[in-house]
Amino acid sequence: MNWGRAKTILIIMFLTVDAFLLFVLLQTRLNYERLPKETVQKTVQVLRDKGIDIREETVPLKRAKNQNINMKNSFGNPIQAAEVFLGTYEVKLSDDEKHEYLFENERATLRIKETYVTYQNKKNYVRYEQNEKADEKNIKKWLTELGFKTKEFAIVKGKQRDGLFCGQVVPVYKDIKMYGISMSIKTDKEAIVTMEGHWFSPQEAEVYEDEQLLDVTAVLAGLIHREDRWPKTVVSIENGFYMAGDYLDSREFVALPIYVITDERGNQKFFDARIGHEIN
Amino acid sequence: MFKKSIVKKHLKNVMLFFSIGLMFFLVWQIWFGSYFLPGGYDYITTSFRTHIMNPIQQWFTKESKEGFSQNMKVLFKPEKIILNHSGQRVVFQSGHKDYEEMRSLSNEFISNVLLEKYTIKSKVSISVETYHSLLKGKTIYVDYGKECDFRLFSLAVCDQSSSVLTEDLSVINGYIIGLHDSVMNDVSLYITDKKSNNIYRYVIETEKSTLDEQLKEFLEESAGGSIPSYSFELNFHKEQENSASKVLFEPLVLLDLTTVEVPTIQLAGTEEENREKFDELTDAVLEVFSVNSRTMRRYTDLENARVFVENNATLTLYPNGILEYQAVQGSHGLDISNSTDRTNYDVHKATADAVDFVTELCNHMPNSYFKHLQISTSLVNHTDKHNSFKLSFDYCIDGIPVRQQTENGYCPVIEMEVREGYLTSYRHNLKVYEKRENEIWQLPPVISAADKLVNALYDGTNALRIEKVAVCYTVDKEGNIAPTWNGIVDGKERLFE
Repeated sequence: MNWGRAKTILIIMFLTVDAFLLFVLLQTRLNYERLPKETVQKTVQVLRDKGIDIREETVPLKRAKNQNINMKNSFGNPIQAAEVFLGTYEVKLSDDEKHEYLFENERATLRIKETYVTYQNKKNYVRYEQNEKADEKNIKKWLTELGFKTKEFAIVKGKQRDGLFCGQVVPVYKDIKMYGISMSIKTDKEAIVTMEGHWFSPQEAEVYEDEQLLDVTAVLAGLIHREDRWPKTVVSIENGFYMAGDYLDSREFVALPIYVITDERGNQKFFDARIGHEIN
Repeated sequence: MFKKSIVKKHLKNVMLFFSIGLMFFLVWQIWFGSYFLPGGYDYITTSFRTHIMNPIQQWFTKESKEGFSQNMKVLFKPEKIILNHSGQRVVFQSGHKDYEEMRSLSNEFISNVLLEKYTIKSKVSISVETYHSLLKGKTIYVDYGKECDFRLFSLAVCDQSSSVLTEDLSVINGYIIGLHDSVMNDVSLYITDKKSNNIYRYVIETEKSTLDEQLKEFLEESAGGSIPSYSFELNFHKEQENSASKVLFEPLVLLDLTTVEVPTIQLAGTEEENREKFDELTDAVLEVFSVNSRTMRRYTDLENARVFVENNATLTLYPNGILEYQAVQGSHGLDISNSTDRTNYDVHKATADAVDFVTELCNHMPNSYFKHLQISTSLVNHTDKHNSFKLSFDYCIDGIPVRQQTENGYCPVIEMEVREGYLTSYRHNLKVYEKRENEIWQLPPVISAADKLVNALYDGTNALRIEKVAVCYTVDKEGNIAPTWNGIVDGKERLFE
């Protein structure tokens, strides 16, 4: 028997089978990671029939990963926080039992009570002119100088009032916004003048590959049963993570995956991406 | 040329094996990466896991699932066994070198009675004075120190809840084996039913001489030292005629008028090692409490306690080794029952559920941990809250419980509440203690400790009633350990400080 030729035939045969199996594997993986278009179309149709206006393009086709994000309180170590915010400083108050601290230097003060932080710049305000717009790039730069990592925050709800820029800084994990906690900031033309709130930084993700999140179409379908008949129009649907306000006074906690649905008035509602319930 | 053909031949073999291996790999990925299969097809992989993989895995894991009665044998032991023979009295407590043998001997006797391997020749009721006077003769008094439902006791002793004495006895706290001085070859069993307060004497047909010889051997090895006295022997159980008593002891409280020596103990391992051990236990604890680590909310508070919040309960792991579970008010809590039938939920079912749960948790701890645990609550049905039971377990060293200081005083190591098969609260201090070799602590005689208590509590009118005395180790919040007298005074547990 010509074993050489037999082996060649077998190799070709097995490689063909392998190619087919690889194709099947990649196809199923693709289906796993994306919502079928027909499902989206049907869901959109059902919503429209029930008086909820939504466009197909609004529904994200890519499925988000089923993952929790471990968040760590950035001010869990007050001394470290003071070094980052103020550089050199004087300790005015340090009560480990009540978790209350006050640090000060010639430029600013930093107060930490449990996990709530208040930063106050002592400088005189240099306000924006009436037609002058705040440059978000500068604000981001100032935030980076205060220890915020560039890719881990976003500035939202920004507006100018009395010559100062007022906005919220929210945490971001791999381009996904995290809701539930934020810091309020006010800036003038030169620097951040006040900043207060809670802040947690994402540490690591716990990914559960063997379980998918609930399809966003299932959450949308649930809207037709709402008694408050919300929303009239779905303007955007985003993936996000949620941190419950009950746990703000902690060193670490876990942010859970959500869907964020925004209506035509800018109202947002959060839905647990695993079970579909609205988060209040 | 020749070399080229050899290389070509080997390359072909490698390619062939590679393509076959790749094929198996891809098939495995498609079939057993179950999230790739469309819905409805994953029963294949689930069945494979359930019926083949899991049993194989379980076979290799070291889980020892003893039955409830076996676990009761470990968790429910006599506090002391008092041998009275030939004018001598020896107290055997856990830690005494012959305690296990004495326990085995008395267990075997009563087990044979309950299983009708020994014949009961007669049964009579006796008075409490007769019962007390027995203890001065040839007897083995097995004292459990707490009341127990007779079915549970029977289960712990002979693996059967129902026996020949079930009709007479509802609640007991011990028994006496009496050998008598008569020439008759009879041995008697004396038991008080604490519910009806009847005291029964059962005359048992058995070889008295064999038992007698065995007891003499124990005496030879263990006699010597001080002889403790029962309170009734010292007349400490009755008001005196001439003057009002400030304190009265229950008749069967055993009093040693000399100093007592107990082994010195310490926390096992350093604080750092303990913190690591508690961290390692986290996954096991979450599994036992059926906490879904994916969907529950969890956070670490400012005191570094890790808190896991579910819809119906909160589980907290403190860095100092305390584990707390609390069901939300109005919700059931964790289902720990082995049965779906929750009607007539009595102490028997509650104890079975509690013991199984604690055993499962302790399976994840060092083997020796479970052997140190002892049930410390009475195991009886309530007349009021008939479907809710509070049980506690002590961590004991040589039979002496270690009590930790909490906001509620010095508490046993495990305290739990079970309602109709649901765990509504659970508190467990996971710290482990060990003896320090060749070191002992001395305690003053219990009478001196009782004097101090009287000075603190006596109100000038009613005498204090001391129902029980024992030694315990106390551990305060700073971790300082000390032995102290402990007891039940006027119905409440107190330290004699």
